[in-house]
Amino acid sequence: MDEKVILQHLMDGSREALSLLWQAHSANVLNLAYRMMKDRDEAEDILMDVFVQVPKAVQGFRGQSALNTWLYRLTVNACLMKLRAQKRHRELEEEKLDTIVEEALGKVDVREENFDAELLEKALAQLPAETRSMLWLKDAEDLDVKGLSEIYKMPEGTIKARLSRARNFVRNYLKGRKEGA
Amino acid sequence: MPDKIDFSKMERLTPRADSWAKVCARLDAEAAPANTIHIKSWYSAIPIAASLALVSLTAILPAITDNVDVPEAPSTETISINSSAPSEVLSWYSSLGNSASDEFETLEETVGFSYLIKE
Repeated sequence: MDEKVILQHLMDGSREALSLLWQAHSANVLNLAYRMMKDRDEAEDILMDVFVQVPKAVQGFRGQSALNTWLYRLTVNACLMKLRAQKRHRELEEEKLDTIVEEALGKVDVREENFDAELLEKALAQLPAETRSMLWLKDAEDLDVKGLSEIYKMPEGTIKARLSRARNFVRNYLKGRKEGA
Repeated sequence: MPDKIDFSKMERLTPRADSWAKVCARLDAEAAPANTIHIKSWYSAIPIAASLALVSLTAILPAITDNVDVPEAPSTETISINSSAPSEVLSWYSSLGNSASDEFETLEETVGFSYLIKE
């Protein structure tokens, strides 16, 4: 079914349209939530929270972005709210991380693509939840920078800079671990 | 993009089998309290409506009763004991207060009783 038709039915409160949305995007939402929360059960909770709020939230959706982009925004917001509520958001603030990474690593250019999955997981865990999810959406879900800009409400330049720093951080983390091993 | 991080080896989750059912259950549960609130609003409306009705009746009732014509209804002021009472009662009634005796003059029980029954 066409996305616009699904959207119209969603606005009319159709459970079937919500089911179609679930089939198409629930796995993506779950994986994004898992990247942010780092916990399977919490990611499932976020997934359900997001879809429960869809029928109401869709009434304010103007259709200016794609449905998946809108769903990702709901997911990121839900994750950030949960992280704040749990006071588990102990990761470094974005600005502090940016400074630390720049000071510690400088400009690096590592082209090493065969990462160990477990090590990559650990590297991602070092990033703030927001940056981690941003990197996931860009490199795993193939979202474009424009979409990310809509989701995180940041200028595209900021998104690009953060992605670049995050990638450098991950690569250097992996390189450091491999050299140390 | 050559700069991309390769996430292809990382675990990709799929939602649990019962997650969709849970979403539906939560949506149904969210819809249910709305009905309860609706009924509750009726509960609060009932005493208010009753109070308003009572106040309205209090204001309107005297006006209605004033307008009702009751031509056949006898006025209590016009009823004369002469028209209905038997002679024993009349004589007792007319002699009330005229006796020189201090004793309290009573109507014979049976006469008074029969008069009351008749009335």
